[in-house]
Amino acid sequence: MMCSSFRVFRVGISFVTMCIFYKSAANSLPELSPHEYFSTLQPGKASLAYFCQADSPSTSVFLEGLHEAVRPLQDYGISVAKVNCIKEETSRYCGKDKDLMKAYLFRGNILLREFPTDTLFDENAIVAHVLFALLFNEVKYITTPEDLQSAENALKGKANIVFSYVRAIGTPEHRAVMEAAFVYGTTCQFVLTTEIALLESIGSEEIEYAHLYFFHCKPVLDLTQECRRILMEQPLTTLNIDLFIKTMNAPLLTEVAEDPQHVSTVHFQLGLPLVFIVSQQATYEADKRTAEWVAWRLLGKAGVLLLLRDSLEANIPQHANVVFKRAEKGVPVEFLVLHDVDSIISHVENNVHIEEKQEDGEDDVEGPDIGQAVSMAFLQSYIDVAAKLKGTSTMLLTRINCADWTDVCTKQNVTEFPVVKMYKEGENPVSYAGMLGTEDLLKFIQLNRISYPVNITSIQEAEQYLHGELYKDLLSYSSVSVLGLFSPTMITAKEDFIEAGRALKGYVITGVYSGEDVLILSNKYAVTLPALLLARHKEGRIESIPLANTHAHDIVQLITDASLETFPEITVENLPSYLRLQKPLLMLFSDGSINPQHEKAVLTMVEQKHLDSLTPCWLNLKNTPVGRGILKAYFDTLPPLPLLVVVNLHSGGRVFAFPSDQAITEQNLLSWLKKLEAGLENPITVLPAQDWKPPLPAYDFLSMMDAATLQHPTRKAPECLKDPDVPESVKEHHEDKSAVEREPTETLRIKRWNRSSWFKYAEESLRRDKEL
Amino acid sequence: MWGSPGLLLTLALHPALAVAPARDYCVLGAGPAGLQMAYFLQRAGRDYTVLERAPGPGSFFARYPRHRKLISINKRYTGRSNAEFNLRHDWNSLLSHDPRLLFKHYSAAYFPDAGDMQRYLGDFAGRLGLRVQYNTTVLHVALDKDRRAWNGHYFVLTDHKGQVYRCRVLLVATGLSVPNRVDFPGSEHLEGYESVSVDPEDFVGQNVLILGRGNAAFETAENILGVTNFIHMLSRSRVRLSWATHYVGDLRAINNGLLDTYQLKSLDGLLESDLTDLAILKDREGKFHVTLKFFVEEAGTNQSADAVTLPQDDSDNFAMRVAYDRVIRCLGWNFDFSIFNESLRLSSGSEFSRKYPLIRASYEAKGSRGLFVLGTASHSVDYRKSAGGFIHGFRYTVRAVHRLLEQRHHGVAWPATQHPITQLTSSVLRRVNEASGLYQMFGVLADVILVQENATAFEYLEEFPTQMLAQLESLTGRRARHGLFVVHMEYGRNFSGPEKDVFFYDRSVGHTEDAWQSNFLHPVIYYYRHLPTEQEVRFRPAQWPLPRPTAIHHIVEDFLTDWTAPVGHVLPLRRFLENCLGTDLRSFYAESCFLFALTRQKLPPFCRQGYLRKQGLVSTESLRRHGVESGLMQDHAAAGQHLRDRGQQPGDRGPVGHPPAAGMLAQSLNSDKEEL
Repeated sequence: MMCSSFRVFRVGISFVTMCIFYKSAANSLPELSPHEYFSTLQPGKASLAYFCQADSPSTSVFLEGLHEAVRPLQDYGISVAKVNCIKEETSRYCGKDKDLMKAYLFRGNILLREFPTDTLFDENAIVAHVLFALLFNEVKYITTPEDLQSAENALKGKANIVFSYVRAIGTPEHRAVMEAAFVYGTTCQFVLTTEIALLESIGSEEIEYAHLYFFHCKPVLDLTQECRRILMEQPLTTLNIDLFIKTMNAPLLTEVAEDPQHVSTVHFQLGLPLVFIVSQQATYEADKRTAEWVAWRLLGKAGVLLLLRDSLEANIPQHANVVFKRAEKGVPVEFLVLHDVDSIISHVENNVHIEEKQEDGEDDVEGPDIGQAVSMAFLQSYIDVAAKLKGTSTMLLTRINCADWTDVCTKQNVTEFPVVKMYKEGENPVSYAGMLGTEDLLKFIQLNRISYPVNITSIQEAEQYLHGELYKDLLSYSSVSVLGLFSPTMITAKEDFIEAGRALKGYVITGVYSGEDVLILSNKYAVTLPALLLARHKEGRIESIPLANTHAHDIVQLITDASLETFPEITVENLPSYLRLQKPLLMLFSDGSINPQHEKAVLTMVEQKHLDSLTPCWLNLKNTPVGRGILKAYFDTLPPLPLLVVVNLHSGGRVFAFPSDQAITEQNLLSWLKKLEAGLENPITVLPAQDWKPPLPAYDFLSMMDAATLQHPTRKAPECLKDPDVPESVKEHHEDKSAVEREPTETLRIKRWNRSSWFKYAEESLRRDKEL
Repeated sequence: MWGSPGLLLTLALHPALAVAPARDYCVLGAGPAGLQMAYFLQRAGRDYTVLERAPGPGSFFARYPRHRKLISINKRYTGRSNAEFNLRHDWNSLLSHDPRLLFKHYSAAYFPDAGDMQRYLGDFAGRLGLRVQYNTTVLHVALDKDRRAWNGHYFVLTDHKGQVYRCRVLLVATGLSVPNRVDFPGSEHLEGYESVSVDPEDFVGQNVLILGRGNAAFETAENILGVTNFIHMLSRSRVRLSWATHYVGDLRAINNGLLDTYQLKSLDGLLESDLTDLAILKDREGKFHVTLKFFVEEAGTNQSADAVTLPQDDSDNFAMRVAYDRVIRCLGWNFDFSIFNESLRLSSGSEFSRKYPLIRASYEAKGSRGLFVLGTASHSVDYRKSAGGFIHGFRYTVRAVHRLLEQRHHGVAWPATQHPITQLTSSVLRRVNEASGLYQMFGVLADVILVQENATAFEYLEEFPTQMLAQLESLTGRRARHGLFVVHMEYGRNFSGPEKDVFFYDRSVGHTEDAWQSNFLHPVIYYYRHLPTEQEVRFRPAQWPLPRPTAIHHIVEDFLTDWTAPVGHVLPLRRFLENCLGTDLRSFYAESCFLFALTRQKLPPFCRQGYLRKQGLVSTESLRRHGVESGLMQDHAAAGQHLRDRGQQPGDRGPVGHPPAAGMLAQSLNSDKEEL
């Protein structure tokens, strides 16, 4: 008892503490004696109490509901208690009969209502009934069309009406309406009915369901005029009603003179699209009337604004008279030419279903999946990217589960999963074709912040670009910057390059310069036009490559190859790029950073063209721990690192190891490579060449089915079934007939009607007659 | 006196015939099937017209069902947003690209009113702008041989005004419109379902005999069950309950009130007999007595009730010895053959082709090339098996017919998508989990996967009529030279039937190794190394819906029809596909591919098609940690660990004993919980 009174004390202190204790106090139903209960009542505060005999069962359907209702009622500042009637204290609320206990609603210590427990059959009923009693003035209960008419007349010019029909008091819909009334009851008049006839009188169909209408009575000044009625089309839930009333209360028409892309109204915040009617000074009045008419028609479906073209800075296409802004944030607005109100309405209504799907967005990247593990694994990376970009980017990363949104994915031509697509305003969607990992995707997204190729406008800018001063923050994502140089007349060559630049967007930074003074650059870097300049920022080098009659596809290849390093650190991500060269790998395994002397030795050999037939590279086991697995496959016993090997992947799979007792110097290396070439070295291992066969056998259901057939010899194994000329259905008829004859049911009496058996039957019955 | 009307019309209109321009496609009937076909023709931009007798679409629904309640379910909620999946449970909508044209927007009732269907069809035709010519009754259809025509002849249609239409292809979607009558002495006393009163008041205190045992019969009984003295129901064979036969055309639970009152020995009852042996006599009070045709024939011309022997004269416990106030005929409908000239050979004239026109599994008439039968009238293909006689089935078969036509006359190959072989498992999974055509038209339509050379890629074709498998190449314009999979849905072989107990204990199978014994609808995948021949399709083993395959896989039935369980559904499927193709279809992280690339001469398809093209799947730190912790991945950071085989997980029911695959597989996801 101590404990429960403490709890009540805590609940009752003040609104603020109640909020703090909200969670711990939730769902706890204090049990009090009548005296304790009445001493906690505070003036003006509502309280619901259930009086019961102390020895009555502590659980019942009603009590379960009451427990559930504690928390929602507390949200409305209503406390709830179970009062145990004990012998020592008599209270008039304690009934005599155990079964006739009731719940009472008090405000302060004034009794407002009493409820038989069977009306409070569940949480919804309790909340609905209690709020209904408390909102007696705010919610008017009516039963006839006349009541509704008089309520309407009384409020014209004064307030709007929220009229709802619910099947019964205490239903979830009733509760939702009551909760809305708690919030909006002071600004709108709520009118409630449970009479179907009343709903029919205002022309509703499908009366099986609860209905809610918003009557726009406030703007009606002429009493003979009807209030405009808007039906809420969504199911009656608290959230839906809240949103609906918010949109109904929003201004019918807003005038704006801003770029529609940046306009937001309450409609938009509530997830509705916006329709801008473009107006000009000259036609302002007519446009406004049109806009108002459209607004009435689209009430609850879209926000309507009048866009004043004259005072607008943003560019709106000449002929566009309507601008449509989808509910999805960040989708570019659509400029439309629509000639009448109906086409505006139907455009909006036709585009509503798309809006439900929460499709694209600005710079939107989608990643579909079908609960498939590859997708699920990639999703992890995708989420990591999203986390890294959070707050730093204008990108919106979304994902679409194609198992749910097949139609959306099909429309986007997505048939393989996972797929990442980027949607950028004014550009075609781009499919991401890189590694499905955090780093590469991040790189792709970052590099896509600017469009490619970058248009360089002056020699100075070109120099800045080549020296990495122009896009400093992007340099870490692209190992090279490429600049295409063209004289102003080289139109085709430039177009090819631009196409290549677009193809490489997201992977390499590309720029183009074709100013009149382009010769200054070509002279400086000693190259004839058209040409490419390739800035390797890490090495601080700028290379030049002439471009004669090179098609876009070849330029892409050229740049891809050129962006390869001469002695790269090989990683999981970049190996495929180097394997493409189809050369044996000369690979140095290092436990940590590479020894600078080794690096120098290899680079010198590269410069001297000794390594042209190989792809020299090194692997840092710290960065790429899987390298240990490779070494394990090459060596029976692992010699100390660093280790140098030649892996002949593309011809024979032989692996050679540089003797670990020799120092890695130019000279030693060169002579070892010569011996290799001469075939004087033995491979330490030959990589296995077997195919990737199924790792495990499958169930052989065919044999199991055969075996089962053999066990039942009655059913003949493969037997000819089809008679080519008789359709399936015909056979069924045959079977049916025979089925009739086989049937041993009570109806045999009738079945013997066929002529041949009739006589026998008659004879038999005659004989029986005789026996009688 | 004037000769046959057909001849007269032909004579009178012959000059007009010569000038009538030919249309590519004529659709007869603007019911659901006709409109569905019109939709596909319209979307493909074809030259077509729909001819409809009534002033609006779906005129059948203006009168039928007589008691107005459709028994096709209007399931508005499934808890899923997948539009294709939701069609699995939507038995009323036609196929279109417009989500507003879903039937759920037209009725809130689970068993909707027939009027709503008419309204829906009206909107379907109207909103999509389908070209329907109403108030046009085609009275006669004949052939005009012309070698230049697509099919060697034109179909010449003549309407009630004498207008002539010449059509290259004729699509007959006229449904079954002629009430089925049985002829026996006294059959003139019967009232038909099509005209009998639907007002229960008219049956108060009456003894009623209903002939038939279909949904119409039971629907009629249901309506008057509460006011009659009793209802007897007489039919040729035992009642077929759709829940036992798994055929939606059989008696649905919603109509079965009479079964209840019969079995609980209220006064109603069910009887079986061949109706053709029957005779009905009317006595002086206007009551009807049931007797045998044989007795009537014996009595000769004198057919008053009192002169003819009644069965009860000999057998005093004869079941139908009471007199009836009414006898109602509810025996279904037949196709209306009357307008088709005999040269079209729609009917063989045999007793069995009286109900349905003779067609092939491609829905083309056996007797005349270029004539296709759609909708309810095409149900002979899957009568008492699948849903081809109902909207939720024939909307897909109509689409299949349209795809065949596109290939035949316009050179547009059957739509197919191309994928790398690594997508095979997920492509199959996706379809078996959402495809509605496979689900509704189980046993009739199947997806076909054409494996490309060297099994590196495949083409995926949806909803092809399985019985036409042998002609796949010519019908689809696709090549099947390197093997194919057929993805199909089936009930268990011995599960369905009017006499079957479908609620027996142990009716469902849970273990993957017993998948082939699954009883409820489940996906079955057939693998053929070569396209089956027509011979193989036609003379396939008994009870096999398809010819014997090289290998077969059943995905074990699932209570939720959700076949995505990694161990129970996905893994066995992948192993089946792998073994058919002789390759390894597992997925690997980029790190594993990297290792393989440097330690093996060949790479698995997943690494070849992804990683080597710089599209590898890079693992994240957290996944790597998860993999290492669960012992599935080797932690290369800590040296000296042994590789483990990831192919055999505890709880994995897959066959074991096969040499484990070496290598560092990305199998942290290949455990019980997740499958790559």
